[in-house]
Amino acid sequence: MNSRRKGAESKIRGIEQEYPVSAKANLNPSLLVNAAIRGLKRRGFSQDVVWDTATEISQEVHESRIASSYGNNGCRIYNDMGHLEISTPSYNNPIDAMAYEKASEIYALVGAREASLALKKEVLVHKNNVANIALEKGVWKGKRVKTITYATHGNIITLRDACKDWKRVERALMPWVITRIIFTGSGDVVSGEFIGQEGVKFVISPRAMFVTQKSSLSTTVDRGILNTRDQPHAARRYWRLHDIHYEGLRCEYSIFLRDIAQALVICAFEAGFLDKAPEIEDPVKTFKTISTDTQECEWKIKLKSGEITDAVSILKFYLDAMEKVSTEYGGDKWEKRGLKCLSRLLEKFEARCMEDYVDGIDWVTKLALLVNYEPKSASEGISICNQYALLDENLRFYLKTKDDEVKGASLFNPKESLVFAERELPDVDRHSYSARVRHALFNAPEQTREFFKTEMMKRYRAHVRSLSWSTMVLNEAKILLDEPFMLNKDEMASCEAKNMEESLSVAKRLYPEKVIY
Amino acid sequence: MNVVVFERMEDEEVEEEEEITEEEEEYVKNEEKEYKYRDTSKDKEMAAIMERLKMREKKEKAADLVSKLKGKKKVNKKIMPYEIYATSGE
Repeated sequence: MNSRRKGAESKIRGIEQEYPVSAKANLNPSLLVNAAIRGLKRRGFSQDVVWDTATEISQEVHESRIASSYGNNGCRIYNDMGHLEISTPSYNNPIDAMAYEKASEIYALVGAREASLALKKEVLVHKNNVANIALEKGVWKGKRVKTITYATHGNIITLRDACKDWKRVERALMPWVITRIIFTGSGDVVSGEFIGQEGVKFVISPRAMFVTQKSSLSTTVDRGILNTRDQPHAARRYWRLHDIHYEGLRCEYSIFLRDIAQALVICAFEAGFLDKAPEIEDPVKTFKTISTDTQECEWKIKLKSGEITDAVSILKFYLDAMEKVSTEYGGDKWEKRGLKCLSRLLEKFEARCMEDYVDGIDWVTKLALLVNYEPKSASEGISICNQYALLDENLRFYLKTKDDEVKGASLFNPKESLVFAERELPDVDRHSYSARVRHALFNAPEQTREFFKTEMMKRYRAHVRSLSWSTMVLNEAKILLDEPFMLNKDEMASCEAKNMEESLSVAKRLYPEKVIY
Repeated sequence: MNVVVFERMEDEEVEEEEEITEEEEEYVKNEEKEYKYRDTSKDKEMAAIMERLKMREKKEKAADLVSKLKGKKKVNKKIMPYEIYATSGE
């Protein structure tokens, strides 16, 4: 039933974002996060659920301690070690990637506002990946800054067969993860200790600075460039590629480009077009070297062959593979648009004209802010980056179509980001995008299995015992949602079920082995 | 204020870059002088000169990035000390 999908649209993907929730008062982060989660429920954005932890292979114990709630749009919301974690529902196109990221930001803001009201303290929430802590209050000079990190994880469904040989995965994808940061990096300041210096340093990819090895299972210590976690959240023939080097992006354009490029790279990988990807001599060191190279932007890379090249040249190899796979196996309008955008970006970056991507690429936008504000101290530089990451009332801009005013203190400007996106992506306009974001707040993507789960939750909540990404247990039956596109809107709409029994019998008729009474 | 690297590193980097530039200029002049009197391995020498010139070009281009970003973003909002108080890693 899903075989008609080809190329990037056959890949479901989603983002897990850990949001730091802060208050000036010395309050336990978990207290703040729990208050935010309760607030979201109070405002009708989410409901408590029992999360079926059996699908969280190897993390069952950790997951069993987490109280989950389920957002109206199919997102999962929980307190993960003192951060507000929101995992978007799975989608299969870059426009949904943009809309569900913005919906996630709005959820986080609503939670923080509700926590403020409940605790009678100003509670703030940010979308980034590092907190720079002054070890000695009021002293920022020297090595007195400690940078801690929290994650943005990207997930994309892949074929297990393609991932059986991890050496092949490393060969194909490691150079991609290392070099793509020049357009997917969120940009931030980290402690100078990372480069053996004092003070703080602006880097392209803050997450790259925390890597110590090529591959790892752990996401919190000794992080790898690639993550080996084997939790398909789907049938066994799939592998969910769990990518711990996504970052908290705010610009629409960079979210669009990251999503479509990643989906196409995975298609190219499965088709074998990346088996001869260039091999980097020292991947861990190179990852950090590129990230810190914001001054000269040489982005030099030494290959195992001894050849010296740069990040743009490596990305051109990937662009070529993406074009091949798109021509042979896919080619919907988003793929074409994505390829055109990436090709243009690489031409500009080859000429080192990054300034053309202010408001389009996050690290360039943050660097432009730093250049123009001319911070007088490290703490001011840190504040500028934090203020860009601040989620505040400027998010209202996405919910309106006429009023042009952008309110709030955040240095991220949604209007300028959208103007950039509209210029580069002619299929995007403010009116339709706002409608999409509003829809994404309370509705799941229509093309994926999330549609069935959210509709059942809305209509028959009292019957739901537990759910997870790939299961739903009702009083009456268990449904295995282990195929990414099963029971989506098209499938369910064709059957016009009027009540729960009819919905279940439609599901049973379509997937006899997946509905167990 | 160098916005790329804060605190003490800033001055050191600028100085270092200036030194290299001066050194390079002198080097190129010397190489050119010597070139007039030496015919042997002139291709090699020319290649070395070109390499140094390329290096200088790259440095000039890099310095341009920061200057090209000047005026690209409005600075009409007050910067506030938005410290993130998260106490735990991921």
